[in-house]
Amino acid sequence: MAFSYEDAAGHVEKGKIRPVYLIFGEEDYLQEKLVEKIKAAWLTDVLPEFNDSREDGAKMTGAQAADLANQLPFMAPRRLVLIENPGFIPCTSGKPDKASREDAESSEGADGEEGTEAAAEEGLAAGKTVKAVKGAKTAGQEFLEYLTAPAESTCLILWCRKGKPDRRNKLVSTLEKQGGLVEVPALKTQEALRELRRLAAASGKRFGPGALEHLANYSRPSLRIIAGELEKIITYGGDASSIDLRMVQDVMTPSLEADIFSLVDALAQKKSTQAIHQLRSLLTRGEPPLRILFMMVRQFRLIFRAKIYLHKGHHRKQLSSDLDCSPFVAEKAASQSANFNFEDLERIHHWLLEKDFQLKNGANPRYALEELIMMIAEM
Amino acid sequence: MTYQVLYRTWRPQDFDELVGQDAIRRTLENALQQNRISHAYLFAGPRGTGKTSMARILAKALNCANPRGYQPCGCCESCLSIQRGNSMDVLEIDAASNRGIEEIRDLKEKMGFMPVLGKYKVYIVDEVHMLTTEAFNALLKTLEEPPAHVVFVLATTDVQKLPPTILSRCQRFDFRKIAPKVIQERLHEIASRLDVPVEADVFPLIVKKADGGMRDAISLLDQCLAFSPEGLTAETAYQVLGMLRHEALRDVLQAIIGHDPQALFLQIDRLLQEGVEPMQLLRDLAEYCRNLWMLIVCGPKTELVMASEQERQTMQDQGQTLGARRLQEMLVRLDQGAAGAKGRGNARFMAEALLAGLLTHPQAAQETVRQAVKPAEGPTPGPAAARPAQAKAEMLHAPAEKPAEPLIEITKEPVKPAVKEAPWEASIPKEKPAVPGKTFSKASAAGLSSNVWEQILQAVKSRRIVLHAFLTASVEQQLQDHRLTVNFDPEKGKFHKERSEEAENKRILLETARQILDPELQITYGFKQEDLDRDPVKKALAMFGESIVEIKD
Repeated sequence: MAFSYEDAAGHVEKGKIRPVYLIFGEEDYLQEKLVEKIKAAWLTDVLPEFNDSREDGAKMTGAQAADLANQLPFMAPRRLVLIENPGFIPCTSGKPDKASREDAESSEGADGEEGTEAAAEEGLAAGKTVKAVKGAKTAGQEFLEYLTAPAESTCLILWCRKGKPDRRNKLVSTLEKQGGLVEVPALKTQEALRELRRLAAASGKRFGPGALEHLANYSRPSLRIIAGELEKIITYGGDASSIDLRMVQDVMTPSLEADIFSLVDALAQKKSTQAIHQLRSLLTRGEPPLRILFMMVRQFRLIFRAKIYLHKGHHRKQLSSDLDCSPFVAEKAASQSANFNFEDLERIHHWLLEKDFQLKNGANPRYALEELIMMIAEM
Repeated sequence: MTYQVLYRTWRPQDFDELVGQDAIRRTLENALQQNRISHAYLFAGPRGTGKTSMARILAKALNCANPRGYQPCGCCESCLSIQRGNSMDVLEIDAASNRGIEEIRDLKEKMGFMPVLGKYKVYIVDEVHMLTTEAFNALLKTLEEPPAHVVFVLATTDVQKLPPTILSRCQRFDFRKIAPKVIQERLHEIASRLDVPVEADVFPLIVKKADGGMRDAISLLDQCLAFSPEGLTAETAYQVLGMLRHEALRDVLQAIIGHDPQALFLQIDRLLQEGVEPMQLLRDLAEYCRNLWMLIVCGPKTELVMASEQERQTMQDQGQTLGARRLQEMLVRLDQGAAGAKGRGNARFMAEALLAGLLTHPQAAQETVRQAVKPAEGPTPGPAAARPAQAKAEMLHAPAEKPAEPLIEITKEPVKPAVKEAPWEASIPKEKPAVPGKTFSKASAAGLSSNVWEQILQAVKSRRIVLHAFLTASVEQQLQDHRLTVNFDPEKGKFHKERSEEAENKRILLETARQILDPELQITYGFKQEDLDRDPVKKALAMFGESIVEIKD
């Protein structure tokens, strides 16, 4: 069982720091936070210039890593070694599929250690992308020895920033048994919101009504970016104790998708002026016209499909899975669909197609898109 | 002393002077005040909106020896050296000319040195989107873990080109175009401090031309002043800026509205004599049409159009006369014409031909036909005239009577333009109708005029583009006694015929054709050859030849 970010961070805060960590997962930002936390907790009263080393592990063997970890701290009780993308830990790129893992587990049961290795090789033969440096087996052996007796003065962090460590590997499974494995998967919406609240609280702020939701839904979908936006908003707010919606709207850089939402919102409410303003700000920002058009097509298709599902009697809550998109996007499409009837939507689709053709045949993008917006708004 | 261009002399030196970016300014001031300095900033926005100026001010404020609050003092050694551009702590790198990995490596090597005068080493990387991929990757490593004394400010006009990894590491600020009012105030200030008399009408012109860029605005002012240093009148400004006067455009359009070729050509000639580029005339006229359109769609008060109260009034009137649909078509034609005429030999001919083309609008010609055809169609002249309107009224109420088809609602589309375009339709002289009304009354024998069929197709296209595609495959159309026969090729057209015959498609064509031709119209689909047997007239034609038409006449 790999630890979650929460557990690992909790342990670190209590001062329980493991000698070796292997950190991986999709949520890069939190991993970085965890590394920072470990560093802060481990390297107290230590000269960081000499005892905090960060290495690129792509070409490193297990033996080299063990050597590095075994070095003594310089004029300090402890040192920290961070190895990024350790090459001696085999990683699958992308998401590991369930079947292969189950497969591996069953063969593990049958043959023990050798079975695992065989399974790993099978994975290779089957065309799965398992990356490992040459001679990983022997190198792994040396590192395995280090794992059984890690240096007391060193905290070693192995950080897999790409891919997922292969759990059938002996090194990884040993680390897992020792409790050094930390997986930080992509956050679910609720978890992300909680994390953001925590971040705000760390600066002594709380969110006013609607502010957090606006931030999470309208910003680009990456916790690192949202956290960056939050920092900016907090700075903008200055001494104010709460972060209100107004502040978020003032300084946040919205995602293209969010801008298209507001554009379509404006269209649905027949606010052509507002829609054109929105379009212009997109164009001045340098969004390619075809991308804007594509996003509009996407949005109107979502609305169309949402309307069909609702017409068929599906519940609003169900839409998110029907349309295969986030609940926020589904909700948006559903509410916007109320403003268009089927006939309108069909006509809009034809117009979109027509404008696509025009744009690809050298029409002035600004005029073409403005025209499209006016046509829809005037409908 | 050598002359320094205005926008450099007037480059803002502290937060107060940098106008138009209030949210960003407030955030940065707070960051300085509360010591929440991010290690990397990204300033994105169109040119002339204050990115580089803001970066320099930030650098000064960070390193100022005795700041006034959070403002840089502007007189300490650090501030002065930054202003002179020879500071050791603030490095401005033009990424457009230093875009390789070598330059970034060099930068990283020197980054270890501590700042000399101030607290921070500030790297201002201008036009950062020009860096190569490798250089970006090298920079990324630095952005991930910069030394505590380093602050990066990346500035770019094209944020789309930055890799997401870089974006996520920076605190991003989007610089907006500066509001016209703010630019105007600044220009005013500069002019009065320079002590040059400038006519009030000049400022809006410059502001319009500058399109939200302060630097552009100031250098345009500079340009105008260079032309006439003692004082600036609107007349000179128009000349220097190469802009077309509102009145000129108004007159050109008025000639088109009034269908007055002579006035139109005279006006074009006058403008070209004045030295206006023909292509610019087209572009400006397109812009003018767009403004008219905006005015009638978004209301006379809309801020999307920059014009004085009086100009708005005339534009509004012209826009109303033309109607949204015609404006839209003119806009498209002007735009396409301007694009198509690029690099052609004689731009003047192109421009004249295009503008003359606007006088005789294809849509206008079709409308004329429609007018001519309708009365001739009905069997009894009296009620026939009233019939189209009646038919339309029926169509409007159709959905209420047909609950079985809830998807189709009011068929506004074909009705609306006819109503809106009434004014200009009437203004078009009927001297050259493309198809005389006669064609129709004797259409019993002849095929349907291609113009009218084309019109039906266009109307169908706006309702259902697929049907339009099927119908274009038909090889022959005939109109006889309230019956429109659409014939397809017996070999190739089978599929198209079947699809056109589907209930929904049939209904759309029927509705459209009824509206254009005859409210009692019926439609039959067939194949070309079969018709020979079924249609007595055709049969007769085949037997006796076409002379029969002449006998009838």
